[in-house]
Amino acid sequence: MTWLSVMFVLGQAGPPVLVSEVIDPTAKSLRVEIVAGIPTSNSRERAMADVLGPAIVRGTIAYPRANLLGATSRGGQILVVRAAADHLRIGFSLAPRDFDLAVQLSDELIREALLSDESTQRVLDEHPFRSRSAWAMAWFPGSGEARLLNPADVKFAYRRTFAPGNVSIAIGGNFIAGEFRRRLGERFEHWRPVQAVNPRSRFQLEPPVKADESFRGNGSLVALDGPVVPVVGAVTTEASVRPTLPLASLAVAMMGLGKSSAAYETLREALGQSYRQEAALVPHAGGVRPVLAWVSTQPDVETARQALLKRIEAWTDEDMNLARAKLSQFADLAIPLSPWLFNSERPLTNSLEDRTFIQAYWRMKTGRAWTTPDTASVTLDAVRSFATEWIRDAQPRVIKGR
Amino acid sequence: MAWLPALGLALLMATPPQDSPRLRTLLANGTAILVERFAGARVLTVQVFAGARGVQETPETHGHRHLLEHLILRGKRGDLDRRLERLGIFFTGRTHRDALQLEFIGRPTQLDAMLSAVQELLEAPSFDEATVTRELAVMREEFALVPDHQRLSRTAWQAAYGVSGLDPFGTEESIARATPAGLRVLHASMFHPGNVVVVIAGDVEIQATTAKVRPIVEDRESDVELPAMPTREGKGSREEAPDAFGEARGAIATGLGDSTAATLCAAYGIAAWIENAYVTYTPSATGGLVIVGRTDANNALGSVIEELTEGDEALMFAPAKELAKGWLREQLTSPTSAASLRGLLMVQSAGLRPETLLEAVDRVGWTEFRQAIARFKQDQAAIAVGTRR
Repeated sequence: MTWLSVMFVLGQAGPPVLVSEVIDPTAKSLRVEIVAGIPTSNSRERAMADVLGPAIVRGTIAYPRANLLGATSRGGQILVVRAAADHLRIGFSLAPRDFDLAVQLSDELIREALLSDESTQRVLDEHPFRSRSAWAMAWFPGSGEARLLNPADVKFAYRRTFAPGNVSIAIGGNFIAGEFRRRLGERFEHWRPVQAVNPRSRFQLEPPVKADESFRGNGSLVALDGPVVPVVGAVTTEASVRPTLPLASLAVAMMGLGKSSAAYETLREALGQSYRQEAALVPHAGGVRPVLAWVSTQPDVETARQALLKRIEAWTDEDMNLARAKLSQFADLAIPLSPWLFNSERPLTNSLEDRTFIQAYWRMKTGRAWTTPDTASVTLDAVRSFATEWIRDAQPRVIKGR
Repeated sequence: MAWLPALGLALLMATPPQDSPRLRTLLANGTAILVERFAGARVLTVQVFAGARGVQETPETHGHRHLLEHLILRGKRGDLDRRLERLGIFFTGRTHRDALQLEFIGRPTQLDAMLSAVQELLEAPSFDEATVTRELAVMREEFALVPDHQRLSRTAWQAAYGVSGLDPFGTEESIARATPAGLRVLHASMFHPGNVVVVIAGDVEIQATTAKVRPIVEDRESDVELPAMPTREGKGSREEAPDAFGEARGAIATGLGDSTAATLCAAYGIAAWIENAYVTYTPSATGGLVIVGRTDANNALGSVIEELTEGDEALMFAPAKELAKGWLREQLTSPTSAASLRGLLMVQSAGLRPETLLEAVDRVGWTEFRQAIARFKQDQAAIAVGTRR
């Protein structure tokens, strides 16, 4: 399959919307991904991110809920709304002929969400009862504390989040290159920030309380968080002593992707501590972060840590080359061995949906087009050193299921 | 619908030229081979299906097929999955109620390596006690990981079908009863020639590829006659799932006819209507469930379904059909998902094709849709209510 990614920026200074096009002549549908930068550094912001997306997709001015449902089902997939540590994502598929609708719906969702008090309150009412899985806790730590949050706060957050300069849109499919850019350009040419009244509610003014961090399930989750990898600096500063994205990708692949990984060999095969153990690069406000996680009925973190360090020390060029092969398989063959995780259910794949999303996300995150990190120049010593620091220094998060 | 008896002769059926190029071969010993060509695909998949005829789950053998799946993935030397990964071949397995599925994914140039592994899997295994014991320990950790949607699904099946709806996962107690000797017998039954389907999908030449598979499977024989797969008799019911959070509702769906198509549409309509709801459906010729569930909230599914008005259903109708068709079409666009769906259907009945369901979805009318929505309401549905807090 051949596909071409083309990136455009609307406007000259301070582009109101970042636009990416993923041209795929074999695509059977259109895919639209809207990504907005959002801070989720505390439980309050996390709660806001959790409710904002679902509140938006309750309907827009021209597309009340049922119409939005009807329109976004034409590509055969249910509309997706997800919040992570640094972004809010809305994705939907349309029929190939629905190019005009893609433009219109993008605009509607970004600027014209209804956010009626009644529908937003329903989203808020459900929030305290939401449950998160162990894996969601592993990759996206921190629960939202929505106490005192009200519809006015959500409206304010919508205006603040979906503001010029903070939104990235990508469209994937088989269409004329540049057409989506032109059409969105016409729509957003004069987009200016909307003055939103900050309700300064008790939600904003009172200090947040600690949210519930447990998950419903058996066993305990163990997560070892690695150092945050600054994605922009890593790409632009070769001489930087900070860990780079290629280095972190390779380390994650060697640590926890597949059955030849350090985690599989030690945690499952040697120690019998877990059935499922995975490493991933997950979004973080400061870049991306490697995380190793497993669920165990009898977790013994220090034994696991020592075994992992021993395995890392024994890594060879063969291990590294195998990890490189895995990374290339993910990109080429849609094998679910990607180190990238943007939702708790599955890693990034090379589906049209995911290729479109990663372009929108990466553009929002770095200002650049996404390309798979080239690990060719990463040395075995470097990857050993990075992985050793990660596992040795991590403060384990051990969360017991209930 | 019962499994069709194996034909006594090799039967070649090429698809019409306007359809995607596929070749289905039914061998004299009952094994079926399907090769589908996806021109230009960079991925090649080989999938082996072992039907559940004669080895359906019972309270005594509950989960033994699942344990066998674990052991099979290790191969004869105990490291097949890792050996294949080192070759760049992704190898995994799934145990469904109606079949065991083993999947290889790699590049078209790796067909021979995959087929060599298939040959290894089909040969009688030799498990020792220590290997089985070690795998049981891994499975105990797997039991701790069972997600809510799976727990709810298990309960919904139990509500609908009782013992004949036992999940293939098993329990710690039931799999602990498995012995190496029993597992060898189970392997022989599961991989009885009449229970085996091999599907290959990718950018391959279909005749030549079929010819490569034949020698691996056509000489396998068995003196044992396979019984027909019994039909499950389902009913609406409600059960609590004390170990799960959330709620799921299943509608009984057997075969790939108009009723199943309408039920699938209804499930997608409901899932789109209710935020964060999901659909689970594994096609079954002998009695299945189309499940709609929600695991991020308690008490937020059934009440909405019960309160759906005719107006709501009218708004859901067109999107529901689009989503159901979208799901089916999506399954048929990539070699891996197409092989998975086609194999799972073929292993149950040689005549089952996903296109049948796709055509039936196209035919679903307003009346059938409303009737299907009603199958998710409390007087007809198999309901699983999680009581974990």
